[in-house]
Amino acid sequence: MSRLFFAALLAVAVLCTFVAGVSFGSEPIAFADVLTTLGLKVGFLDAAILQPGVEEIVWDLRLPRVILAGLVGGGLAVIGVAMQALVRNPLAEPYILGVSSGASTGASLFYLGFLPPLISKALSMPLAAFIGALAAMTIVYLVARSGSSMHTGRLLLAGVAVSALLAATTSFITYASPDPHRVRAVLFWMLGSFSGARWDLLALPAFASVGGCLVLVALARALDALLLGDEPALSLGITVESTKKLLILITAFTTGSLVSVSGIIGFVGLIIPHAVRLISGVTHRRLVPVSYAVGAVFLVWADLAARALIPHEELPVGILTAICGVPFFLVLLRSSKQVFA
Amino acid sequence: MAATLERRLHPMCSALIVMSVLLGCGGRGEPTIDQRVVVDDIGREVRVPVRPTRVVSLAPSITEVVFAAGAGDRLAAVTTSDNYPTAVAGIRQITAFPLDHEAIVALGPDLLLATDQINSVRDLDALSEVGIPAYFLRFTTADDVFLSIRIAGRLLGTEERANRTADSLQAIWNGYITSIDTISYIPSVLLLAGYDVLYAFGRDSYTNEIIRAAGGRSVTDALDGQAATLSEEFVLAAQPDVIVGTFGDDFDVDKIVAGHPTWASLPAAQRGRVYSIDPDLISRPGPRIIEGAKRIAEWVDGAKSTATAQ
Repeated sequence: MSRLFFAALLAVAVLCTFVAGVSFGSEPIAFADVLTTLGLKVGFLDAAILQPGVEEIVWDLRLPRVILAGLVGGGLAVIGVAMQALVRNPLAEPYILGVSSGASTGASLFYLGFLPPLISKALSMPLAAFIGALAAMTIVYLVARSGSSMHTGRLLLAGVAVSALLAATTSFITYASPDPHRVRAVLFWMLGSFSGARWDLLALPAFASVGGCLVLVALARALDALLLGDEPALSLGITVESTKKLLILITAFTTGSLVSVSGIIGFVGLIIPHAVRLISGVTHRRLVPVSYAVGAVFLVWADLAARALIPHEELPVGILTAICGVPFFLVLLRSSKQVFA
Repeated sequence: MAATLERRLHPMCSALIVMSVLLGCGGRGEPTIDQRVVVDDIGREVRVPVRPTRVVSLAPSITEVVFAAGAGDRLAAVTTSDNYPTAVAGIRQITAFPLDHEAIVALGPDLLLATDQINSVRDLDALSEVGIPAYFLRFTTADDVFLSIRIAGRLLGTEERANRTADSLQAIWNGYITSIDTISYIPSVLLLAGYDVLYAFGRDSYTNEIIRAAGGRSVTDALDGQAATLSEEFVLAAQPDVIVGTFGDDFDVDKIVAGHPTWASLPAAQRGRVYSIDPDLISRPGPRIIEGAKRIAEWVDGAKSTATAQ
């Protein structure tokens, strides 16, 4: 398959996904009405008669939602690529450094009212989750660092240990909460959802996701070298320790920002990089951008399923990423000759 | 109504009382002379004392029902969530969820009143093993509230008073239902249990009946089950005339539309018909659903008069 053809195929997939994401959803809306709304908003049309609510559904709910799902899917996929290169372990994904459990603890502490009123007034749910994620990663990083160098084995173990501690804390907080509605709301958030997507909330995730991707594209050669091991990378002229620190910093910022707006969406950051490696090879110059596109496409479709599966109702998308993604990935694993270790 | 009650309580227990008297009721498996066997709302056979004096209510709604039945003085304990009527302040409180088994055994009550909405059948079967029976009430319709007052009266020996109260409450409720003007416009109402995640009530919830009694039509009454997690799109497509959150009287209702900016285009938001109500008047299947319906009726009437004026 030529590169050009492959790129064109990917572009078509992204476009179709976008169109599908805006055209379908929880409520049936005629395609013509979708086009009319877009025409009105972009300025091609001056006036049109639409059912009440249609304009808001298409422009203010679906469009920002599709964009957010794409940003989060792409961002998580490329961070997964970076983590797998950093720790040289096929099990690595964006959450191994404690981001998700830290964010859950932050969000549940805030939402279930366990913070002093003075602090909780200054916070919002995304901010509380973001702070929790950063705090967890800082602890993991401080444990893994020794002098100026960082041991990846220690990083992984510290991540697992801190995650376990924080998961227990979150369980206790939710268990001890007297309000069942709030517990359900926190659970819904923890399972991940794009239902809160709004135009005015897109700036941070867009910056984190696109920015993270661009930095990783720039670091493509260093990521290739890291896969060979620390010493070969050093001999290739890569500043290994500072690259590692930079990768951890990007992971912290990008994953923390994305999780804080969308909740915890699993498996995207694990399976997309592996699936893409099977198709496009291991060089990061291609792996990073292709993973971004595939991750974005995958999550928009998963979110579409979350919206459309039960009519009029909302499902947490995190459930669907596992249900749709994992069987597909298992088939891919089984049929590939690569050993992943 | 009366026929249902008869079927639920009467034949079974009278037959068994007679039987237990005839058999001399000696063995462990047979009820004693001061006990009778009844079938509760979820079909369990329960051996209850004929005159219970130390009763524990395991849900706030049941406490309200027991007080309405005129048997509040039989309560030895209520749950830590109880706050109505004011007389509960003087009654001992225990944790009902998760159930504090030891506190109940230590208290030594002769009857537990539970509901399958909140309490676990397995937990209470375990307590039956040590001789503390539990009667489960089930609330699926508004009528079940009035029926449960009658049942509580029968179980606790205040039958006459309970029936009188139930009769008058039922009459008020029926009055609401029959006075609904079905010819003119019926405003649509969105009743919410959560405002950031849009938890609402589905087809099987009695709360739709409260809306109906208030003269409105619940937009979620066709959704499956008791609880539904609405999509934002659904709310926009439904275009409710009135939005009622069950977040308490002091809740700042502006937060509802602020959290969902697209709702500013809905008729409810445009005409300022977004309200919040004390959740205990709606989510607690007790006698105060009448008060809940009355409060919502004022808001529905407001929407109706706007529609008629146009």
